Amino acid sequence: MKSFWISFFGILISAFFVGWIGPWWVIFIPCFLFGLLVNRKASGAFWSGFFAIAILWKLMSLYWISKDSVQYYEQVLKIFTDALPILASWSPKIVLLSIVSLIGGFVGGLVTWAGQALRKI
Amino acid sequence: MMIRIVRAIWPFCIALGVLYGLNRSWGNVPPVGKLFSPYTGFLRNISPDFQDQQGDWQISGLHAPVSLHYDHNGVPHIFAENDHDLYFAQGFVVAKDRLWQMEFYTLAASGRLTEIVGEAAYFMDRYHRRIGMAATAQSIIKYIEENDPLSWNILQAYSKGVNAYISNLSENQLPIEYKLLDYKPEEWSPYKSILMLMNMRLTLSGGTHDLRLTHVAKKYGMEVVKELFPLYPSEESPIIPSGTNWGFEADFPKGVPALKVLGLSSDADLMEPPVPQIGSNNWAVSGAKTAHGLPLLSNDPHLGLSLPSIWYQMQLSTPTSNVYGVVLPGTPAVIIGFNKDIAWGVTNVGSDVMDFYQIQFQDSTKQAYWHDGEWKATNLRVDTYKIKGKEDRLDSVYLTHHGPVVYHKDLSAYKTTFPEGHAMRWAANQDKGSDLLTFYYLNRAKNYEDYRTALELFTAPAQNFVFASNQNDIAITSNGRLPKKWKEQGRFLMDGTNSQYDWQGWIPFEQNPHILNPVRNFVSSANQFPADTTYPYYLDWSFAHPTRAIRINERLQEMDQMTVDSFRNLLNDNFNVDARRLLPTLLRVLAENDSISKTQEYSYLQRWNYQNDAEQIAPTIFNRWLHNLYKTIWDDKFPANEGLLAPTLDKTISLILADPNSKWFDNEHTTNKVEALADLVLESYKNTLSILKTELGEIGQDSWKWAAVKNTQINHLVPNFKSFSRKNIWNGGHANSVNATSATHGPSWRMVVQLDLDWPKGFGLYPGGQSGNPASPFYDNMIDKWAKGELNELIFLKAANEKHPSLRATINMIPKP
Repeated sequence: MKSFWISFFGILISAFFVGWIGPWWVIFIPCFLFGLLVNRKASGAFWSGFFAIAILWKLMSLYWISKDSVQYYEQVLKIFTDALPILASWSPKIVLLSIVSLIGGFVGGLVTWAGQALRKI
Repeated sequence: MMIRIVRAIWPFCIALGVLYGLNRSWGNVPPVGKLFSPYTGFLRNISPDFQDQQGDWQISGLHAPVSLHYDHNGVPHIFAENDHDLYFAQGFVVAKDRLWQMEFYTLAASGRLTEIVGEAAYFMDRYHRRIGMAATAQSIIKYIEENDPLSWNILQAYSKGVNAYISNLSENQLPIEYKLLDYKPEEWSPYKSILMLMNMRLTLSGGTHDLRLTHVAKKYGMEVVKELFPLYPSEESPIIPSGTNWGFEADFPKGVPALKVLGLSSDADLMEPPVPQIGSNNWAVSGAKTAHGLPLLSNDPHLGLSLPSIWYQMQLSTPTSNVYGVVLPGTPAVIIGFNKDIAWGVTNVGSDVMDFYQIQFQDSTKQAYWHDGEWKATNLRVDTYKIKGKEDRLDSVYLTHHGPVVYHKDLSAYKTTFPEGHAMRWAANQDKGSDLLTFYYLNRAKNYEDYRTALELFTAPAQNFVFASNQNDIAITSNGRLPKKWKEQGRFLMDGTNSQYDWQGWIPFEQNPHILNPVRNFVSSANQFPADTTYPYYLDWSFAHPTRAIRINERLQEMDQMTVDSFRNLLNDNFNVDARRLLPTLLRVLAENDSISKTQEYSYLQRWNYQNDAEQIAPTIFNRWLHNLYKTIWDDKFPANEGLLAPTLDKTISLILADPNSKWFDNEHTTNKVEALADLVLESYKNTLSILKTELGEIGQDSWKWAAVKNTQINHLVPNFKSFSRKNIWNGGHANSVNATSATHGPSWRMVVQLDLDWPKGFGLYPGGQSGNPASPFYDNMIDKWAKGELNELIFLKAANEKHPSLRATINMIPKP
């Protein structure tokens, strides 16, 4: 359990800082390293990475949305909901935050788990 | 052992695969990982306020510091020490707001859209390349580099500025369109600025009636062409007033051949109508007609309305020049604007500068063609098209001395108004010099002489340049390279074997239609005939429908003591000249029928003041009805799907008024009956109302109001990005009213300038906003004001250190050592 929390907070904090430099995927480097160096269990690795990145991306997105004075994010989302009308029935904010958390969380979990798996060598 | 390694590694492989998959686009699906990441994705385009823009920007490439102010409307005011830095800063600042748009235009102009949108753009791309857009831009650049150091230096400085911006642009700050379409900006170059000018040449002078009129002549003979397609409209108010003495005669070195209509080897399939909504108004009045005793000038170019807007406002200043106006993103200098002493504006001339020559090839290899008694060699150009997600394609273009053979029989045509097997001669393919110098000198002009000097350097698309100065001069010139044409030359497809049909040089600049300080104390243009039929050269048989010109000239004639408000009202004038001319006659026909004359619809029309106002219902009925009547009269005889041109609206109206029993009113599809005008008027009226009732419900509701039916919309340049567009804009107007707002076209910039000995006052706005970023409050902030017909006061600073209350941010652009 301890390694889960170390991994979770470690990823959350280091990914927050690393994200500002380089391409979008650099935040997954901390995931990989924490998975490799800290995690003992595959499931713990996955969920620590999942929640760390999901929460980080969600909070970051909320921050940008708070600066949006023209409902811009709704317009961008509409480009997707025009193609997938089922999404249009929910509030755009919830749709956006769900997409962002799911994508970020899924990749974060996957990469952390991939790091952890390499310990088996 | 092996199994253990596989077990350890396969999650890693899956993770890499998922990252790869989310990092790239799949067909129309953008790279969702990159796009939704709050560090690099679309949320990062949520734009900073002005407060974030204060301070210093270190930029390498500048020669000296530049001061940059942004006003409350997001308009940049640039104060540079020299021309190099001025155009460098212009490039930098425009790219900051409009980079994606300017690059998108150049990709379209050079036929490279397939590289970002895939195969769907192939036919349009190929058309743009086959007519010579990219090739001409390249030869213009070559010419400038060798012969025109001034233009070259300006273009270089501008490019350096754009590239300085691009090189500092981090991935997270890329405009949203790059993120959605998943590509990156290329380096800018002078060639790309010239492509922007080619784009305007195409938009404004890329139409042709030649093939469709030739079809008419083949089907009905020249007598019918003469009767239904006259060389001058029945009502017109030309730019240069009738009665002007020209003082020269036409000169054709190679003589004038007989007019003939050639046999066509094949017919193109489906014909497209031209775009009558593209046009513009401009006018100026002398001090004798204004309240303040010096000239007023106005301009509103009507183009396809888009977001981001085609125009961008800015002030450009150095110690020796200071100008305010609108620029085209991607090109240096101000295109329409004013300085301390003068103001100028443009409308399209729209004369026939595109002709087609039937080519007789020696054999199927197309290596030689017959001209002037000998076989002449063609040149072959092979274009390569890179297509996103597909293999490259090659395309061969055969070039004659006239120009390119745009379509062969084996090519499916993008522009079906272009004939197959014909070479195209087009003024837009002139490559000796750029039009840039005209604007460079106009930006710095102080008087009428400077204006004329600047105009002489202009090539295409030919424009009516209106001018006013604080020395109380007003002038207008229909300007550009206009081919010397004998009467009706190029009206039909021409014989490409006989050099008498070739263009025989250009009308000398001095002989282009122009006038200075006419006795009526005003000058104006609305794309109508530049001159009446006494003008010694043939310019074209068809210009814009004359109603805007007639209305503008009537109003300018009537008004005195004019102010900026008089001009603003005229810019928003919704009067329907066609209705005034035609509706009383049509109503008389309806009145004979009791079941109609007692209806509500009839009374709307009867009580109408002929204004195409937003709130009125009469314009909905009349405009739809007139359109329907026109089609009822002509569709059976000149069906569009047979590639036939129908007579003009002006000719149709004059036929209705003067000859109600004309044989042309008989419907060819009814064999047992001979229709007269009254039958068609009734039929089209009933049809129109029945369609409108089905579409709009019971009459009298808001859905019947003209603004709702006209439904003006301003769409993003990428049609799929619908949510970046603005729909249902509530305003009046009509393509044939002075306020030429239709569904998709309209005044793309409105400007009024009050000249003054001390300091001019400018007013203006365009239907969009300074920023190309949909996340910015400046993306579309001027649209509502534009729809209401209001104007912004333009902030024209006297000096960099002027303390103007409307300035919001000041930035020092400092050369990076």
